[in-house]
Amino acid sequence: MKTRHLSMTLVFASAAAVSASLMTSCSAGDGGECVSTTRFFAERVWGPTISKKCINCHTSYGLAKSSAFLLEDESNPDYISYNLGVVTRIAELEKDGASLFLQKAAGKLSHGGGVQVQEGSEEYAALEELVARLSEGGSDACAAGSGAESIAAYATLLDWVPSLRKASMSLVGRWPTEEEEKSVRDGGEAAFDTVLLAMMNEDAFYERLKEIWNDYLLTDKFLPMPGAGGKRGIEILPTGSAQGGAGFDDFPNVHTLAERFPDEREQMFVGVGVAREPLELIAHVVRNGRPFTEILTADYMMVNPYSAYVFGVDGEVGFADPKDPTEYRKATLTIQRNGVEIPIKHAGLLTSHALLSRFPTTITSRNRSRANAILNLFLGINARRLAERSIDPTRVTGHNPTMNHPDCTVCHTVLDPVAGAFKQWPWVHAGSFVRYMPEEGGPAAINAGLGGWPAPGAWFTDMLAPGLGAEVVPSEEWATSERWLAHRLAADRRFALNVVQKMYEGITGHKPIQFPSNASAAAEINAWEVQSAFLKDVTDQFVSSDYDLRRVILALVKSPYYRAAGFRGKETPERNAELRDVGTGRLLTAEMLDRKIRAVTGLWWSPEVNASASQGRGLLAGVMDLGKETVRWPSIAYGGHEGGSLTERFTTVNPVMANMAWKMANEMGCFAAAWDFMHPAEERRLFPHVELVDTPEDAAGSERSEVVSAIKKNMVHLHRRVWGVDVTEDSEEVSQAYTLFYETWKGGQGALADGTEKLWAPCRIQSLPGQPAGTPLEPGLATIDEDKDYTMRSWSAVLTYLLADYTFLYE
Amino acid sequence: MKRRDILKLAALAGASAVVPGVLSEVRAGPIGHTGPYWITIQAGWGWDPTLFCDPKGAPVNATYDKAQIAKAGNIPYAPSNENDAFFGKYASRLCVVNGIELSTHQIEAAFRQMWTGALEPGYPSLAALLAAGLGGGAPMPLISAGGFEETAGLVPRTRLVGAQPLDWASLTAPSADMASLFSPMTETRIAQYRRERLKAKLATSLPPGIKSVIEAAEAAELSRPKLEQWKAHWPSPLSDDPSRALIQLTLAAFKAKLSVSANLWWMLDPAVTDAAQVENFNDWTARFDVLMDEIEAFGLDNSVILVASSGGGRTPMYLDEQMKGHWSVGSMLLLGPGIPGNRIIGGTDENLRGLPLDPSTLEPNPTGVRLRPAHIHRALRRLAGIEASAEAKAFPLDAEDLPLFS
Repeated sequence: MKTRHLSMTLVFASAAAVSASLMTSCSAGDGGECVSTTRFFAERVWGPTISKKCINCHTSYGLAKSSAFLLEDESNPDYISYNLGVVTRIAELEKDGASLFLQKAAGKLSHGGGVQVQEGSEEYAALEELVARLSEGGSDACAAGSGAESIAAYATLLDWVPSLRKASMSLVGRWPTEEEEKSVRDGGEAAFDTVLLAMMNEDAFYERLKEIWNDYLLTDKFLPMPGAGGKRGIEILPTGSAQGGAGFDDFPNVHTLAERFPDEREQMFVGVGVAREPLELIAHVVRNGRPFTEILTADYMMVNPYSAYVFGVDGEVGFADPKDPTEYRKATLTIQRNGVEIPIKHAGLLTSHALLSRFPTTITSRNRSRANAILNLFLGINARRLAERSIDPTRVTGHNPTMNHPDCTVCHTVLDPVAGAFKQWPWVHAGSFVRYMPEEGGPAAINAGLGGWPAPGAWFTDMLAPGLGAEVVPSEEWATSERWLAHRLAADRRFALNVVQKMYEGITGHKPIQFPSNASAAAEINAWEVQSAFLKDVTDQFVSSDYDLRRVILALVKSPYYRAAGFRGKETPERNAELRDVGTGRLLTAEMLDRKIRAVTGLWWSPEVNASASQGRGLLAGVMDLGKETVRWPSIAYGGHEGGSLTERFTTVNPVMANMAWKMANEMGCFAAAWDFMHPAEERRLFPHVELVDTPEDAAGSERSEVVSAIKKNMVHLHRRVWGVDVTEDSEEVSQAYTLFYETWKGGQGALADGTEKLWAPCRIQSLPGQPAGTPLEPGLATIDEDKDYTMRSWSAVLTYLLADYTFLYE
Repeated sequence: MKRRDILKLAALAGASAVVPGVLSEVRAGPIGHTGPYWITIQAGWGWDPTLFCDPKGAPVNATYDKAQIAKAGNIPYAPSNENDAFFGKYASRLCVVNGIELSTHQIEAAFRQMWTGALEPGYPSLAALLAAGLGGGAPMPLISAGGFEETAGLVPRTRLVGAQPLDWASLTAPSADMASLFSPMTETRIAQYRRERLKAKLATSLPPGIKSVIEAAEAAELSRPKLEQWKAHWPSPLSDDPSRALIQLTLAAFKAKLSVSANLWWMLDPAVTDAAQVENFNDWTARFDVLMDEIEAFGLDNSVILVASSGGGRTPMYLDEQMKGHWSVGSMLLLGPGIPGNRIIGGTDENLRGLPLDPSTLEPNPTGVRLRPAHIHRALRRLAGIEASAEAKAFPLDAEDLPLFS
């Protein structure tokens, strides 16, 4: 594949510049090495001092929670930068001409924590240097920083056209068209931007986008898988039957579903609409160029023609095609509660029945586990990390420990306010439904089933007030606390960074690098420093574009994290640690590979390829064709998850997965070759330059040079078609593939002659692939019964070889 | 290999990947581990030991009095017909450990600690550590079926269960019908060319992440033919019940010497009431019966060590409406070769605090040590003989050595 050499320093230049303008000013450290202020802070101040001493008290839940010096721990996805900002503000303050920060650390003034750092110690010297650096305002910035320089050992990046191929197959499941490639070949980076952004208008892009976000939201758990899930999706909707009467029948149309949609397939479309609602909101926001913050702040939800009925809004929402399950429109819901109409105060994903059902609560959890999920999903806060410190349970005594005991408040200060903000979505005893219960629903019999849960509109008095962090939901927004929370989350810088981090993982397959727990791991800090600056740069672009998610994807795809294909220079363990996430070789997910097989061969790998032989379900556990879109259930055997007890994808293969890939290559190499040769040359995807009579040698054993040339020309085509790479007829790749072809053909001649193999062709296709068994072939297509020259099997061998290769199975 | 080295290498291959370089050597090598095999049984959502193996009676339990506490051999248990059957059947082989202090009320952290021995994140599950320590050369060293699945990059996982109906015979076949596709000679030729290309690719200067996944892919490919050994031990037919089929597939992998350990995730419904807890235990013990039946059917009675637990327990007091919340003290059940049966270790007081134990006699002693998961994991590592392995040393446990299973 064509690559170009580029110093990563250059690629990261914009990130480095942005960072330098903020707080990564540099100065010469020991030995003249340039060390950025961020790195200095992380290595010399945060690691040895602040993370071990100051943070024990100076947090929103610590003993010094009323001080102005409030730090955040590792649960904040950007805690290094955040805490440097806190220190920067404090470092500006002086008392009697001396730094307040230094004096407090040394136990002077009125520091409640006493002496934490001895004057004259190494730690104190580091604090002094940090204060000095900050007071100089970054005047000693050095252009690229040592971390960037050390990582910037030269990378070979995919050029723009190969980058486009990679991104195109990943995001829209096809290779670029000739026109798209020409445009990028001629127009370079600018044209790349234009073409890729245009691809993001295709339906296939939204399939991929939903897959990426489902890996976090996990709401496809409720999708009604054909043959396995019945009416899943519908079942999460609260009905009255389980909870004491029609007064609580929030969506009574659930009961008349079968009459309205006698076709079972249409009933499943209802389930799809209910289950997919949160992912469709994400798709809607991006598709319409809306700020991505709207996934939280939307005062509406999404329905398709089928879920519109069950939600009771089919008469209000107009659809272009009321039979199209992929058409989603905005809607606002009203529920009937004891004869009173109660409009749901939508707050984007925060009030989604599907999302709240996926992250439910219990009477004892009081929405806390849900709050944990919400903070993780939308701010990247991992409150579980707060609990990664040992406590002595016998010490946890006294009045209401969750509000008052430091062992408990460490988590509860973070979780409880958010839990309270979901007070209109309480735990419901019977049926485990997620149910909207605002104050206007009034006290009701159903509350008897809620145990000790407060009456609608109220919240637990032995918990912190509903809010976010230290901010409390104001009284005028008390009844719409989810909306208040949604807007606070969306406005938080961590929301933008978190979206970028999640998209980074979705696009590259790598998790963002965490600041290493071992602060002396220089190479790992280098890797973190450069990537952290890059992701912040992308976050800035995201915010300044009014939260246009497509800009994030574009920036990620153009980065070395996506495009690096090789490296120059000497390989060392340190360098490998620095470069560990640069360049991708991700294992394609089952869904991505499924699309790629179809895009390359024209056939799905499914039982319908050869219904008589294959009992497998390919890479998918289930498929639902919705017309404009296909819903795929990745096989857990191929490392997928189902959003329930399995929530994580495998990123490396095991022998079962290797066998599935091998089986796919075997079957598709054979069937796809047969299918392609059944078509006229001008309609073929794989073999446009050869015919089955084209043998490399004549009957006398002499080479047929013109035919060999055509065969090699087709090899070039196959490499482009299957692997997405440009090779020449005299390349090593073609040479190897041709040798395989020739040896297979030659061996086949002998096998035909001695009768160990027969004339008949393998993989005879007698009915239309992708359709129920027995569906007649299209007019003009005929089964190839014989392979008398053994060329079909030779080409099949080459195709299998290409399909089984790393280049095809990995990104 | 030092932990940092292992972590660094593992990080290169991704959180769930394998140690590059090392893997391709060991997994292509001979199959070595001949047992015992290990199965960890993770019970989700926090069970209530006081309704099972750490009975208290009123007022901790509203459903029975102290006088009703039942006993099988040395092991007391909460009264119920299902518990009678379970403990009556297995008490002589069971070792029950009660009063395990988890030092956190956070449910995920507690659960993780129970299965790694450490509160600190980043440690592999017990099943993963055993797979790495005992059978890094096995093709499918770890069978993982959900729950806490962290491998710390030590071993690859093989997933055999989910909510999906899968045709395992088809998934492990080389093709739908090899005879109609390629001749054996052609298949061999394709595989050879494919391997040569990968070898050439690895010889180029690749980003380390790419290199490690190629190595992992190649190791898996080399092990692929060994799936036939696995299939040779499958019962015919495999059970239609997915839970039983998973157990059959797991035990067959043990018999074929392809796997060393497995973690099973016996998801329980969130149960905040006693009634729901009892229902969960009834379900759990029924599943345990299935497991034991299959172990016997596979002739592995004395070759499999079972380690079962949830995270913490439930509160000693009832909250509103007779419900209980999570509690930071839990229990564990063990059974198998090397595990002394009819034994109970540790305990809790009436407030469900763990009783400190004398480090020599393991009898309650106010000045003794509080039993933590780290103690149990250290003992299990010794039992497995991996305490001195590079993998175990890379994930040290800060606890005294206690004579738990000796």
